Amino acid sequence: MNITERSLKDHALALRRGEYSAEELCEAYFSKIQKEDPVRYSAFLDMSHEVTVKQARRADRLLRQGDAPLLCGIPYAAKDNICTKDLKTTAASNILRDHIPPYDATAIELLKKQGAALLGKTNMDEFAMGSTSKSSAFKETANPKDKRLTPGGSSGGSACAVSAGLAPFALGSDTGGSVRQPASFCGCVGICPTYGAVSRYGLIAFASSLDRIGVLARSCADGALVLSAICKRDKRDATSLSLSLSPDECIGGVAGLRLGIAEELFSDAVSSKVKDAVLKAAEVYRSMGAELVSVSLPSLRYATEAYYIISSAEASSNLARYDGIRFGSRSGESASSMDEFYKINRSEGFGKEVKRRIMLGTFVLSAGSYDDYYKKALSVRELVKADYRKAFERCDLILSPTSPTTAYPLLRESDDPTAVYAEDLCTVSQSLAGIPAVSLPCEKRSAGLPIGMQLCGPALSESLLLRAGTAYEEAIK
Amino acid sequence: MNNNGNITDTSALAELSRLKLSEGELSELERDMEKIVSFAKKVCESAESEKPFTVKRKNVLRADSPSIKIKRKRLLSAAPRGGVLSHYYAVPRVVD
Repeated sequence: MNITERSLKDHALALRRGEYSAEELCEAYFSKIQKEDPVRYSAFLDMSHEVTVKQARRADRLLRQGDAPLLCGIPYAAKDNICTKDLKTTAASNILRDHIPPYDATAIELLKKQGAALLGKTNMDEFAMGSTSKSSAFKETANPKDKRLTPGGSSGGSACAVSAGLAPFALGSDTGGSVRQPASFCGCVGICPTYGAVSRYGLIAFASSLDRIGVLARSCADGALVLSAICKRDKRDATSLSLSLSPDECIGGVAGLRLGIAEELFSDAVSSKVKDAVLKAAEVYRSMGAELVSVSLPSLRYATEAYYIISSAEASSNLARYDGIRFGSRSGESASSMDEFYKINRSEGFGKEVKRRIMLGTFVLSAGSYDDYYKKALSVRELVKADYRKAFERCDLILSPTSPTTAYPLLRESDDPTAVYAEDLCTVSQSLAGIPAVSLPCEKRSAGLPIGMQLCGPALSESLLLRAGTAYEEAIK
Repeated sequence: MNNNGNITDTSALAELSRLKLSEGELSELERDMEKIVSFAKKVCESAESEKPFTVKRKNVLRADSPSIKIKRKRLLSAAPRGGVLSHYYAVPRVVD
């Protein structure tokens, strides 16, 4: 088997056996990226051979000393909205095109402590606003299964990198489905942990009450290893909480598991091919001893709209900091007033989708609209939470499609931005509720395009979610 | 844009958003915003959401003391090109 096709656990064992060194492992991935990424995928933005090798050599020293942490010497990629002081962090936006942050995000810091080696930063939708990775100011990433198709987004570069074997795992971020949907389109695993389980310190803010750092990996077991290393309470993030996750707890059967099926997540908007694949997966669970339970989530019919109102409102506030003074780029030197200076810098720095969201956010927060839109969206959010609470009295986890369709052509253009927004219907409700969710492929090797299924559970139920995911992966091996 | 979600003045909204848009951008955004706002308006149809938003939350507070130490030089190195003068951030002269 090619070295870059091995699982994370296999790498960890091989590194300890001395089968290859961390430096050799990183070189193998690095040369694969250099050879394949520019011509086939365009998943990566900034990379530095020097940075990767330096981190790998440090890992080799730790491994030689013995008792090295689990991820020591394992290379990885990180979405470009996660701050790294060794590499540029642009959020795929012109306004941050040359930005090198003065600090590492907590998740990066924790991976550094483990001895993991950063291969590079991955492409994404600008400021994580989108579900195709096309709104990047720099490049269009292709789906590794078919280069004419979108990898999904906004963590499209991370999902593509993992699925194409350019990295054993990658960090992404999920605000309304941005880890889960690209995982579904590219055929890998995407974990969106409970809100607060992974610190947001150093994650470039889009919508602070919804943003989560997540993991893209080749399997649920690999994902569990990574998540257990990065979930740690962090006093630099006021919403951070303690999730104790041991990878060993993520292995086991599902006999007696009550698996919820909500018809609202199988609406007419979901293609029959996707519905059939996910319902077939439900039968696999039943054959393993799980019980299928019908649950109801009525407020989900307003969830997508509520999500766009809340996320855009928070984005309009978060993105007010980009004014071209303390960081980022500026182009308004000829301005005659400070106000004009800000406006020019922002207008030239932000792309079309970001401007739309800022405008929507400004609108829903304005005096005449606040009660009609923003406050109502907050009420819907509470209803969504209450629906999930009620559903989880009857079941342990809920199974659904991750996305209503499989990956679609990159060239697809729509005159109506809301048509793309509506496609987030399966992922936004878990974001509003802050509950964990995992997307994994319905089939191990499919002749067609990958179809992702989503499992979600109550807050801090990651071990159960990943156990159910691993059990399914074993069953269809 | 008025309370019914109809666009009456996209340029005023751009102004509030601190964006300077060309005529072309303005007309394109006006078209998009009509669609986006009528999409978002569906939340108003939710009868349940008529109930006032009354969730009680407790803020998590911390002492207002500096805990993250990043050197001034390191912070200034992230400033835009032409954005630093000596050890200060520089902005264009806007007063005589």
